[in-house]
Amino acid sequence: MSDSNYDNRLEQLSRNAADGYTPPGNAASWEKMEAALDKVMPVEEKKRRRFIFWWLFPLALIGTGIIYTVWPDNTVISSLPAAKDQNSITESETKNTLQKEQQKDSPNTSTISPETEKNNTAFINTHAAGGAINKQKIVRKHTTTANIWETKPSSVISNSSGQTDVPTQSVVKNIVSNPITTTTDAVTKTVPANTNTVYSITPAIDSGSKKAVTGIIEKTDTAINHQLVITDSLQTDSTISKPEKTTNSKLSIAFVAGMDASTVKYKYSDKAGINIGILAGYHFNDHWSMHTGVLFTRKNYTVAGEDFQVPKNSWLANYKLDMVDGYCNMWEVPLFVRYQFNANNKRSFFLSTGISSYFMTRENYNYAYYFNGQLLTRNNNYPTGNTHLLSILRLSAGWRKPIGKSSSILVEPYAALPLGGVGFGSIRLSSYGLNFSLQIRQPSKKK
Amino acid sequence: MLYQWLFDYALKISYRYIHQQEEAEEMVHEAFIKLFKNINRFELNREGDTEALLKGWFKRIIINTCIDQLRKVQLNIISMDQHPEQEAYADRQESGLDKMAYDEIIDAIRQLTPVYRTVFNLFVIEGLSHDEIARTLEISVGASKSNLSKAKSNLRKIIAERSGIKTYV
Repeated sequence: MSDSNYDNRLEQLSRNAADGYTPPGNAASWEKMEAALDKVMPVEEKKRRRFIFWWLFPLALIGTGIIYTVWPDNTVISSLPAAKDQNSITESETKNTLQKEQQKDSPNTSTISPETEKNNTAFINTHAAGGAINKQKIVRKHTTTANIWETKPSSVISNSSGQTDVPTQSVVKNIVSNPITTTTDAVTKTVPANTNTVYSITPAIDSGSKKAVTGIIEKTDTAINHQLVITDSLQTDSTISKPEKTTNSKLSIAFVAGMDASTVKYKYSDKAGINIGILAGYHFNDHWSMHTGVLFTRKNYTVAGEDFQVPKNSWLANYKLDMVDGYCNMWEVPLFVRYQFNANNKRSFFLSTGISSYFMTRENYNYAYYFNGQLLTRNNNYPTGNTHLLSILRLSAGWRKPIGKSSSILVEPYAALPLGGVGFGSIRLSSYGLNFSLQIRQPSKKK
Repeated sequence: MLYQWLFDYALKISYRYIHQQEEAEEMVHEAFIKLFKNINRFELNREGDTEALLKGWFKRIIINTCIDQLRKVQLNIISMDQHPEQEAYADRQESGLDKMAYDEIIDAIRQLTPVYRTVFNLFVIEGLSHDEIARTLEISVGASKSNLSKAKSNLRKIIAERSGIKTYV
């Protein structure tokens, strides 16, 4: 066999052998492969799952805030049915209530059922409103009462009544909060002298149902006492033509602290960073305000190599970059407008949008790059950072809860979305987080 | 499962380039990781048999992974052996080549030095030209040809020894 033939035969056999031979060793071992993959890829999966949490967390907070803001107070809830009953009361209902109450003769019915109490409430309110014969006077009385309730919440009422139980307050509150004119109209038009009998309180109630009626009397007393006291107050304060009105300053200041999670294209996430700073606000009215200030922020993030734009003059430009993880410190200067819903409520929801500038003070990166097929790491620190003016869109929503005359707590989930690349690697850095603020807005002027 | 489907195929390739069994398996796993990480780059819309295209693409990944490993472990692997070996010729009239099983032929190839083995595999089995080999291994075309010639020569010798045929120096 010639050399040429031998070589050809050798090559042919080698090719056939390459296809047909069976390599020794283990069969496919997924466990080993899984272990190898765990070192590289599952970390990403876990971080992505954690990042989903950072998406859901602000959404959950916003949702909770909306519910918290929109959901009415307990006292308001308890007063609503009563108020509804009062508004819907008619002559026949009033009569029926009176008849039912008077017919309750049994000594065992010392307690008043909720329904009865509700009726009593309506009954009392009717008489509180309709007890005065002069319709015009009643209307005026209650209108002024509303003013007193706003400026002097509970002290006058509770001190004067001596029975400051919750139902009593709610009764008074109901009186104040309801369109009394309408009720008065109804009573004036429909309730006959029978109602007046009850209004005269103790002597007029001559039915035998003492205990059952006692409840009514107490309630009636309470209600009337309130009215009397309020009337007294009115008489005392009748000289006040314009009630005091406190207005807040147009300026506010807020101390901010919070946490920040940053990512680039949602591929990886890193441990949370921090926000801390101070914001000043100018309030155009109860709803609209503008804020700016300065926040010190530290952002931690991990970036895929292809998302890190290496400058051409950098040593890194000669290598294939696998991954970059690091952090940056910066001063963030946000400028945003805020719209406050239900500004006078105890809890109110708000939305903010604006734009931020980044003044980086330090960048520190660990580069993982390939050198001759081998993955190497190297750390670089950049103490002089970059400046990015108006390069971040800032969106936030949250809720505010007053904690005093001049202070409020704000809880504010936010998203900071890139309008351009930032930092040494021109990365599209998105941030999400949650800020807590103590806002102080001094009530300065009194008219 | 992609892994089960391609494992034997990958190991066959890796085993021809890497002498150590365990190391060959490691190269397979490393190639799979590269495949999984870059699977989105594989163009499904290309014309042709998708399985064959995927296998071809994966084969390139495996070969490159093995070559990278050989470079890493043995830096002079690609350097041309300048020491001329004494030519040893088997009695080709009584060659035992046809009597050898596939496994024995592959085993003989694996006995070659890394540089000869790599060039032999790339040229004979993968079908690369000397230009392509030169670019892949970053050597000259002449070095590629020389290494192939010596690889064949050494392979003849190994086969002759295994088949009990005397060689004449």
